[in-house]
Amino acid sequence: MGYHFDFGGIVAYLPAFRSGIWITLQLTFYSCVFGTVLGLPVAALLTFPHPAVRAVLVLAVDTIRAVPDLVLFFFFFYFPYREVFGIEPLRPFISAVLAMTTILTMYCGDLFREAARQAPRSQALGLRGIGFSSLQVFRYATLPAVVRHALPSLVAFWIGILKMSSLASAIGVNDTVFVAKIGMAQSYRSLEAWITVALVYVVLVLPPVYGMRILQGRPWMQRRWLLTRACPLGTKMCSRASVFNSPRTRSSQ
Amino acid sequence: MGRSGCGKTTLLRSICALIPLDRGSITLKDQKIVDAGGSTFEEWEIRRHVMYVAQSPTLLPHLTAFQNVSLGLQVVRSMTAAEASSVTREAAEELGLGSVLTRYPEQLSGGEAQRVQLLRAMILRPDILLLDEVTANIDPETTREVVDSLWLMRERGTHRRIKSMIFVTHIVDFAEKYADRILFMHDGVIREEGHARTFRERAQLEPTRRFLASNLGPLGSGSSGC
Repeated sequence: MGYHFDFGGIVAYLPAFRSGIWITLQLTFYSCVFGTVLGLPVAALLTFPHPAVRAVLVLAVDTIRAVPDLVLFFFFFYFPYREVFGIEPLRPFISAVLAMTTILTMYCGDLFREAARQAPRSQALGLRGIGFSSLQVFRYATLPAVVRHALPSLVAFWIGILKMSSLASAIGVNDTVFVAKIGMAQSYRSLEAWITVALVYVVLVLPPVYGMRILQGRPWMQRRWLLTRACPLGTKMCSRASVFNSPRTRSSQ
Repeated sequence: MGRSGCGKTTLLRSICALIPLDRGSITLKDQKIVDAGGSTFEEWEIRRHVMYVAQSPTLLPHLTAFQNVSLGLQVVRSMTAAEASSVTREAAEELGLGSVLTRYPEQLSGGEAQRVQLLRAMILRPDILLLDEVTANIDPETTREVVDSLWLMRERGTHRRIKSMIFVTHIVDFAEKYADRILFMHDGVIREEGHARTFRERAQLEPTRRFLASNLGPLGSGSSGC
């Protein structure tokens, strides 16, 4: 006895799916933009010289990572905004964006910090040596290296956020999944509804996946850096500088 | 010159304010440019007059050799893209680097990369150019090419404004041939100095003599990294 697929009941909801997909894209767009941008200061703070600041931020990053994504959605939705901040409770859409932005910010902070750490210092030294200012060195050497290093992971994070947006229906956002739930409740065709959702996400996710794959094949992306080992400046700076302070040097002067 | 770890790189980097001074100062044209107590100039301002070229490859991997060189002219010497392009092409042709301008650093040989790196600095016409073992990572034949290019760059009219070069090298032969003066460092201090042509004969101290003696051939294979 085979299962008889019937998408007739779901087809009636295609216009609603259209608006659901639009909401999904908006959720993803805002979260990705805010999360990526806010990841930069978090990365800077993660390398802050003061260990206490770093420790607090590392704890925050780890905590956010440990909490299930769905729980964060509920946290931002049910947070007592009126009692704590004296503002009206946030709309489900805003709560969902806030939750996903928080998650992506932490991931991006960690990613950017690591990418900056791995950017070869020799190129920065080369530019500093011929008179580039710190900002110019960041602009021409560090940033391109960080982008090249972080972009594949960043695209993976963005795709993760797109898929994560499906959780927003749990707090009442009218996204693709929310529409599917209404469709299946009224047509009793659950499998067809979920297959429709799956197809929607496949169509949304595959372009960036293939786009990134094409980009990775390009020489620009493969052209990382000549020297993977770090330049001596920085790692050896202290030991080199100590030459001036060595007792032998002092006595000889 | 001097043995590995004797402080040559530290000295060069201190001169151009890449490393802060613990004490003392660096004076150029009767003006203190770097001081342990804080300089009156921005560090990058100092390095627009006293430039430093490291031994490791430092070209930007996402830019072609041409872009690497012309970027410096645009950023440091505030040239327009057209001016920078013309100056870069002219200087590269002089040095026989015209054919590699469109290549990316990864497509250059060690010697070509080092020559492009030198061109990037010399084309900016610093008052003083500090060269930190720029021939350390390349084979003897390529070393000769690089050193020849270096002196060619210095001698050609376009680049005559480089008044002085301080060249850290372990190749005594080249130092004797090209340099005016040789300074020998040991344990963080300049122990001996003298005229390049007579330095070998007049060396007084044991560490200097030992170092010179260990320089086996014309390419200095007898000492490591000095």
